[in-house]
Amino acid sequence: MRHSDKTLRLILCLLILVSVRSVLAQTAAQEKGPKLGEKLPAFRARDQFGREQNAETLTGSKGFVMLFFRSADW
Amino acid sequence: MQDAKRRFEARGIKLAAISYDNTEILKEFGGRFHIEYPLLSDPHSEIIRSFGLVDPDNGPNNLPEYAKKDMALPGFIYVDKQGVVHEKFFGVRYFDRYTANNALGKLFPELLEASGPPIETAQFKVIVRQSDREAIPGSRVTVMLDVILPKGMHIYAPEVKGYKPVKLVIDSLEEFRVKDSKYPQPRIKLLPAIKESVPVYVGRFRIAQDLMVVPSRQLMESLNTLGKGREFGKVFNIHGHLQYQACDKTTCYPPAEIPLSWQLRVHQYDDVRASEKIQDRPNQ
Repeated sequence: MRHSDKTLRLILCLLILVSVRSVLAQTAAQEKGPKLGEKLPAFRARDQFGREQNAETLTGSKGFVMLFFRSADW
Repeated sequence: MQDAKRRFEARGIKLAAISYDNTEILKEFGGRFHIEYPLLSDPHSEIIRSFGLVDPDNGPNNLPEYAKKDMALPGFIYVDKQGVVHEKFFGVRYFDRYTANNALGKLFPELLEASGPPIETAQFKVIVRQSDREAIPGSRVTVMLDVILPKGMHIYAPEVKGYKPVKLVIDSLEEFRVKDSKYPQPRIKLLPAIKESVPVYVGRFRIAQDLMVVPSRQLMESLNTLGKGREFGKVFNIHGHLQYQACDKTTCYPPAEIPLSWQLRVHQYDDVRASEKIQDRPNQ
């Protein structure tokens, strides 16, 4: 009886640990990158066609979506 | 991404991408995949760093041996016309990646295509949607339900006590991990007959569930045997069901379930390197 209580407590602790880790990981994912509601830092970069681009040149009438990707040379 | 580009542009949103590759590599890559949207070159990761998006996990386990450090963490940001960041979509780790269509679906859920004809039950109608039909290992896709209730009908929301709450259940599948789910805010309804206030959904509401294709060694190996590229791949049938209890003004119907399914084709990453003459990180 005492042995099964101990196992149950251990399982419960592990479950709590997994849940806490998952919540922390989700929070960390939300904290990455520029803050919501704030202006994106100014930037300038050349694209694959040699054009210089910035937030003004990239935007459509409702804005733009930027994909961050690891590499095109894989 | 080209398909997502068309759908974003229909909403006045342009698409761009950024990586730490040089412009020659991006030109070759863009040509190979017929990419029309701008691929920005940030060869020293200065922009990526200024946005706070260098992957903190640039360790030896997650980079090919020829790669340099300071890669971007894969994901998306949505910036409005005034340059203000409205939404961002980043996974917990580099291998957990939102697809462009998933980001699109989070911004404009109505743009996600239906997976099949609407499901009609005796009490309401359900439109089943999915962000993507194709994915790669690590992709985070969304499956979505639009539930349309007739006037006078309600369904119990997840926090309800004493009734069967609505729940989208995805059957366990080794190749997929269930990630964030999203249920809308319920309405509190007073039930005069029993003098109780309960959280319910009425009218039209939407449930969204993210699923990640687990980039396990086993999956990678099985995809490698099929071949690399979009023309190869493996079709997975994802099954689940919607649990609910519906009531109208006179009747509370017994708890019930609707079986659901989605199909997703998973193919291997494209890992073709740039031509040797333009590589800035030669093989070691």
